[in-house]
Amino acid sequence: MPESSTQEVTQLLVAWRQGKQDALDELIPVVYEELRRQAHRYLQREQKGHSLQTTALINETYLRLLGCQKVSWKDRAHFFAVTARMMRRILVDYARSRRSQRRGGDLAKTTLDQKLTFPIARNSDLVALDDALNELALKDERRSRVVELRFFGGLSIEETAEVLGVCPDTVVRDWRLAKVWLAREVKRSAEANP
Amino acid sequence: MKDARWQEVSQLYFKALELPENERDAFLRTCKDEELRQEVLSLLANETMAQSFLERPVLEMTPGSEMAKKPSLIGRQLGSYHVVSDLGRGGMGEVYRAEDQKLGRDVAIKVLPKEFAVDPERLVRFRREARTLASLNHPNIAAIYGLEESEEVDYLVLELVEGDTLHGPLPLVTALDYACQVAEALEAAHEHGIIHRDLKPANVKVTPQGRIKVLDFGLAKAIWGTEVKPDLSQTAETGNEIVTGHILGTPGYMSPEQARGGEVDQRTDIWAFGCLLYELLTGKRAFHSETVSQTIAAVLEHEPEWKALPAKTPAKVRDLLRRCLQKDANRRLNNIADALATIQEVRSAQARRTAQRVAAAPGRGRRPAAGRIHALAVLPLTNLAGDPEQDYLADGMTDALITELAQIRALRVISRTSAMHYKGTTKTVPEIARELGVDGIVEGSVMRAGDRLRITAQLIHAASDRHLWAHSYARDLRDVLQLQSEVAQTIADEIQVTLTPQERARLSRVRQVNVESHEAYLRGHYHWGRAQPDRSIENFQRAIAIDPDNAPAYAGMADAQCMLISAVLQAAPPAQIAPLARAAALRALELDESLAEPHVSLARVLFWHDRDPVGAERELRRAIQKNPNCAMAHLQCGILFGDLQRSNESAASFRRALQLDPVSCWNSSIAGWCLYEIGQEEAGKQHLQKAIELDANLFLPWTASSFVHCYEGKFAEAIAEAAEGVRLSSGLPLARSFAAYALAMAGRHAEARAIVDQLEELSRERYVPASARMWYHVGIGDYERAIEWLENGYPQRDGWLPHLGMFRALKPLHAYPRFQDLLRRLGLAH
Repeated sequence: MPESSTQEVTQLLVAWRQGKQDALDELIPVVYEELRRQAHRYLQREQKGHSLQTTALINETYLRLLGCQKVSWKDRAHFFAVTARMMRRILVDYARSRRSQRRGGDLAKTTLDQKLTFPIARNSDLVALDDALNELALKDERRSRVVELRFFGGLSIEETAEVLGVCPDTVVRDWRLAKVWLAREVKRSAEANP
Repeated sequence: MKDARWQEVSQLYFKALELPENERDAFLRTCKDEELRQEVLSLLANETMAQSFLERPVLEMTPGSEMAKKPSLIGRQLGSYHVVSDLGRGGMGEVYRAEDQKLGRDVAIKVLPKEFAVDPERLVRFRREARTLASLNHPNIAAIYGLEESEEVDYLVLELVEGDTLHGPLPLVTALDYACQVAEALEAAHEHGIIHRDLKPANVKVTPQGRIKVLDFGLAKAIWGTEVKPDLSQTAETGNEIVTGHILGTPGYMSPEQARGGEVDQRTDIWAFGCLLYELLTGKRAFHSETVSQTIAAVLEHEPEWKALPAKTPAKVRDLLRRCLQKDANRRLNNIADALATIQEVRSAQARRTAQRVAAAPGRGRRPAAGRIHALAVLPLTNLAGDPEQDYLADGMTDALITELAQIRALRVISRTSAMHYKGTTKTVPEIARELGVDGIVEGSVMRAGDRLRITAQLIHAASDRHLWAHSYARDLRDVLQLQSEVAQTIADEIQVTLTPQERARLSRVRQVNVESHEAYLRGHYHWGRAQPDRSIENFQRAIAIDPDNAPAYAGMADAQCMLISAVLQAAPPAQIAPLARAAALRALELDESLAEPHVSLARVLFWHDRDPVGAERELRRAIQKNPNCAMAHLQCGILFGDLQRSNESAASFRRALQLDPVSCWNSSIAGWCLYEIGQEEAGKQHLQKAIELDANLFLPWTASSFVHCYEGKFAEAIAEAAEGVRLSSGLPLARSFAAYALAMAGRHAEARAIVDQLEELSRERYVPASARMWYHVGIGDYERAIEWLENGYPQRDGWLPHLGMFRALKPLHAYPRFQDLLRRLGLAH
């Protein structure tokens, strides 16, 4: 990977951490590009059934982008927060593109390598979920982050609590309320756009 | 930023959720804000559907799970284990369900963090700790079966526990039952000096049969090496790698000292136990706040919300919670056994009330259930023969029942010395039960007519003084052993303790005894119980002469011989007697390997004679494994650990010994003295005081108190007590030597010297150990001479020598290289 993009990633990350939300938007294409290359290499070597390793692949890619092999302890919470967010972006974009593709949209919009599969049955749900999550974030930022970390990041209750610096009990309650709210919103959206 | 409206929704939603489903509508109707009400109703309507929504992470994989380098082990073969499925990735790494193909059972496999593979030293350290943890053998503790190392991973093989983790709120009766079982698990672990350090509901499972299993005992410490710390940033030094799935303790259950990063001991578990009990009763955490730092602040500064306890929580339970949740560890409940006793008392009272209600309700003739009896005492069976000569038979039967029952792991059984204390007592059953801290009492009678034996036995629910069961047996005297087992097994069934298959097999073994030999054995045991080793040995010898295969007689003989050469009695030179005791113990085991007591005798021989503390510890552990209720084994462990300066383990062992034998003057004296020496002064003095109350005619507590008072400079008291010790022991060398010491310490050298001269005189008639002469020299500060006497005692295997390391009075001697050399030769040097 070129030196320049490592530096770029680091700078974008610092910016994001400092609260510049746009930084992530700029980061995603960089990650995509690297991910596409990595995926290509992986998939040439590996057999089918690779989809489960996608998270690992993204994590590894991310680490590579950071230009380091390991994440230090103090950055761990941050690391999970970023990967969960990134995962969400990548998967939702993927789902959106699949949906538009199904509706005769432009295939070229897909930036990801086609061979990189995701085990998601109902892509439209994912898009609706993303919309609902954005709406939830406006009402309640923490609860939306809980969902992001749990569902997209695959973190346990305890790990989520650790990343957010709250008690596991709080996460349990947040998770419960967020889920019921999101479930209703996604259901409503499905009823509205059959 | 939170939307205010949303916050209202959120609050109302959770309030409604706490109610039973059929009450929610009514509750929400009280909400005047129609829009808010509709919103919450709409959310509640989606509650069921939402439960499974998003439950599985989008990619079914934890981030950072070894970065794809460590694929799941499912379907793999590790040694003789076939990995079947995933059990989760919480706690300390991945956990799988696996089939143990060798033993044909399912187990849990916990993969150790990969740091172990690259750090052999760490693995060695872990192996050592795992061995201690694996020694925990208790029905309420999930067992560690082993630590296996394969090419790719190191993993622990653990008992697979089916069931759910604990959640409150629970009905009072259930909460107390579970708390009781958790306390029993802690008690057993603390006894081994093992602290859980991360007790919380998530680490406690209930099996479908209602049995509690505490998981991950001491594992956090064993795996991570350091105390679990609450704050993410503080753990930076544990390595800069991503440690997968490592949860950093749980702030809500940490004790204040743990939260501060201080030293922890068993009291940390007692704190967590308090948190757990609170949560079981209220369904809420005792200390809880939105953020980790606020939670820690609550642990350090705030009281739990006491009002949250259900109104019907008994005052004793409230008081217990307050004592467990004392911020200052020194003011906290010190011993989990006390918590156990309190809860049992409350449960008995509850059961009594239930029983009364049931009895009062007409038409419900069904006998109330016995409830779980956790601790039992067998009171001395009454000799109905009217001939005091036959006392030994009744006592022997009592003893045998105690021994049979004591081998049942799930039961705590009061040992014989304490049981015998109630011979001919006028106290009521509930009174006795309270004194002994038990919830069940067995009593009965024995009558012999020729070769026929008639026994009646009854099991009484202690608190209510209610008969749960009674039965009468008439048998041929030859079948006495089988009869004992039968009674024991019936009692076990009656109180619904779970017998392991081995225990059941042992109890149903068919055995016959030679009547004459058995009688001699019982007589031997009778004298042993009265600290008369000589007469005891005579009878055991006779029993063996009649029946050379009488295993208990050999065991009894080994034990009596050890008593003969014990540091306290020192009636004969150990170098002569110890080999005989060893031979008898080995022979006993050869004849019946299920016996626990011969291991205690072997331990004493190994330590006192062979100077092999490691071997002694091994034998004591074997004894406890065979009979977890063997008070003598626990007492000897206390002494051994005290001698080896392992104070925590020592104190824990003494606690257990005294619990099993709460009214033994002898044990209380020894434990009190040793506890004082290992730094638990207050507890030590209390036990010595109790020992005197238990039997003011035994010299030992007087002599021990005298010694302790010397430490405190109370010489007048010390001298008086020492004199009492000499009088009551009829001039035993030990008692005299401490009288000389007390006088010497008080500066009355001439009188002290006179006693030493008497000892000299006495040594022409009987064995006087060299150590008896030593104390005088320690008292006058002539340490050179003191060491000389110790050296004289070395070849004789003087009984005091193994205990030299424990005495604080001997601290000045440690400065002498000769003394250090002696300690080294005794296997006592660090």
